[in-house]
Amino acid sequence: MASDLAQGVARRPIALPGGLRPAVNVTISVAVVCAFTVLVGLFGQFSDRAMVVGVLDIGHSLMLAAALAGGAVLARRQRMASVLIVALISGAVAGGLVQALVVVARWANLRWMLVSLTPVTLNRVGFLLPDDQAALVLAASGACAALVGAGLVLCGPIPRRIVLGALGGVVCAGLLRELIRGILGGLGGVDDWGFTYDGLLPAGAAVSAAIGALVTIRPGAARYAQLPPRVKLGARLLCLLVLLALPALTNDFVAQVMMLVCLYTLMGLGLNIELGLAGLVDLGFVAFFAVGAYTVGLLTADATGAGGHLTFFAALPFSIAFAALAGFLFGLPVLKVRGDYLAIATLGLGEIIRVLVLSDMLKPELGGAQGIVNIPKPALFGFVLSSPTRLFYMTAIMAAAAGYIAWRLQHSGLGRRWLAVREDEDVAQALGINLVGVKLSAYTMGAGFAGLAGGIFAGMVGSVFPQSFQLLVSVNVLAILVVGGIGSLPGVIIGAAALIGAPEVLRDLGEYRYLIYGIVVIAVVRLKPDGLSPKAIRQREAL
Amino acid sequence: MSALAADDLHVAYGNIRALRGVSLSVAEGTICAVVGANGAGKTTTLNAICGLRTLTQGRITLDGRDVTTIPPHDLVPLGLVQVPEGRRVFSRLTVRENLSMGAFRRRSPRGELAEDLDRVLGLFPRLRERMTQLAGTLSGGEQQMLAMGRALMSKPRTLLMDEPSMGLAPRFVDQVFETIVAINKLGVTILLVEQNAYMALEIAQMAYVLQSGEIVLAGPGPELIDSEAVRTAYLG
Repeated sequence: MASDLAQGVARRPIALPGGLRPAVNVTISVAVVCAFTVLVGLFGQFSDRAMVVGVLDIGHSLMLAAALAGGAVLARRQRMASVLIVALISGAVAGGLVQALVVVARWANLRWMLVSLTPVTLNRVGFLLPDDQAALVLAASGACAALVGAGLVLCGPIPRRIVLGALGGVVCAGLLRELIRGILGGLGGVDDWGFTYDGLLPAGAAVSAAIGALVTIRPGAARYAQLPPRVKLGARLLCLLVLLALPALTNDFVAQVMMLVCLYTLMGLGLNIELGLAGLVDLGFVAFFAVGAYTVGLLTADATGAGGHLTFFAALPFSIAFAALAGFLFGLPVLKVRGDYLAIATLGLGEIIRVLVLSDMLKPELGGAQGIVNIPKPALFGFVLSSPTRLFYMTAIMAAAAGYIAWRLQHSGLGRRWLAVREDEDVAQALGINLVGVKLSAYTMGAGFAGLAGGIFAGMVGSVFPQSFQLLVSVNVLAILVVGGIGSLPGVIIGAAALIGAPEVLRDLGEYRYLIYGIVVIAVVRLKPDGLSPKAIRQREAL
Repeated sequence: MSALAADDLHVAYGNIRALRGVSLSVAEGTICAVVGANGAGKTTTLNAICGLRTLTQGRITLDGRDVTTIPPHDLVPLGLVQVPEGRRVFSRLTVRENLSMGAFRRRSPRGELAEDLDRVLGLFPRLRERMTQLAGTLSGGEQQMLAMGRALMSKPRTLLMDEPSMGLAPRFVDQVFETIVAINKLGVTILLVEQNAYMALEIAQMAYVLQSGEIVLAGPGPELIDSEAVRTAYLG
């Protein structure tokens, strides 16, 4: 009897494709995501920044993205046309729910707990309309977004790519406003085209959408693939040249960002030797960076106790040498430590340097918390590298040279010894590899790269402070390697661009830009655990 | 003259005395086997010989030269190479790279290395087909072959082998032992540590039975097979 009843309940016909529950779940999830953005203040901060001026702000774009994703989730569960109606209803209900929550929040007055929940923000959710109209507008837009999301799943791959490409184009153009305006301005004073100071104009959005769509369907990709390799190489070189010319053509902001990317690439190359090749985890990498920076500071700035009067370029080799020496000394005590313990040991050593430079003991020499100021800008034969653009080119040249050295090292006998030690220390030793020497060489050389980066950093900023050498720097460099692909040289550049460049360029997002950082790291680890540019299986030298 | 001799080796892990005066001698150009049960001290004996374990007492001579205090990596250029237990190949490197890793400590012209590679591949034809494959994707038997080939690339005069048949399918076990004999025929002295006592004793000119860190029996391999003590203790 009882089981009959249970079956009867289970069999109750449900008109919705895929059942009621997924639709309800998705609807509630979308509403909760939207409400969450409002509650934590994400929406409040983004709603006064335009994605497309006069049409859509970034805050509402987030909400629409949630509805779009909801529709897509529904359609993926049940690939049939009738799911469109479910998506439509689900989106509409979610939109209505959001406005309902706004009404509740206004009534409950939660501001004592959630500071960002100002009345203005709440009104902005509904486009400053009266509640009933706002609910209608939100429901309608939610329905549209969910419908598009479901439609994208159901339609063929080509329309899907076109629509996603167009959306991506608009989002990129909207978020990278400053960068694109700089480039457009640099290319011939057309920086007002398609953009105003507030953001992307509808006309600009249309063009971005078209470009985005074109990029994704890539007409002529097949023909390009058939071109002779020499032409392809030429095309790549051309792209590289354009990229390198960007800072000169555009503004200081672009140069600054690209210089930071180069600087972190330098450090990434160093850590790549330690971690990527020799397999030695190092969470104290910033220490070498600090040694390099302080070396340049002490040797060039007048005001310090050391009172060196070297020029920047004369001091730079000392940066490398001292950092390498630090790496050597650093390597000695941790040689016998492996794995997790090594990570913790290096963490400690990294902190020691920071605490030392902050200490009162060394204050007369290193300036304590006040650091060293008045470091002269790098100058070469009387040509002062003062602007970010010039500094970028200097950094880029150094990074290129370091990249070449790293590449040669990787393919040298020493590089293969590092590989052997990384893969299996015991076997490496049984094959006649001197573990002590090989590990110390990895620490020493890796540190040398970081020292170079530190020296450049000091010359670039014109001052060094202990606060610049937080653990965060080590973590950043480590994340660059993970995202780019551990052990891969192109990966270092790609990782630096993704983790250092992207958050800088997305300044608009304010403090939330590190969300992007987090999302990139999680997405890469989850979707491409070998990194964005994994090292291919090399079929190199025939003995 | 013996190629390799260990005299009164003592090794301790903390309070546990793993080896209590192990002495053995391997005549040049022969196969010598050390058999024994799990935990008898076989691997410790090998590791002690190639310097991976600190001796509390004892002396090791290689070709008449005292090598007791020489660090493990410097024994390789002297012609003493170990094939470690458990098919420890560099699984994320290709077969070719694994083999080239074996030739680290050599300063020979490239042509000679290529010749050696050819000779090693002659012993292991299956590796030739898989030169560009990642070592981790090889079968267990192939990985053992690769580990042996890698050791041979360093041109050893004495090869230490730790449990080469461990965890292999019976078909591969036969093949591994055939290969060991073939390597020996090339003039390489071999010290073999095995749990598979029957197979090891069959090919060994000289064999030692190890029990709780002590040698309890020694003699030509085939004779030991017939000895009652070995039969009851290890062959069942």
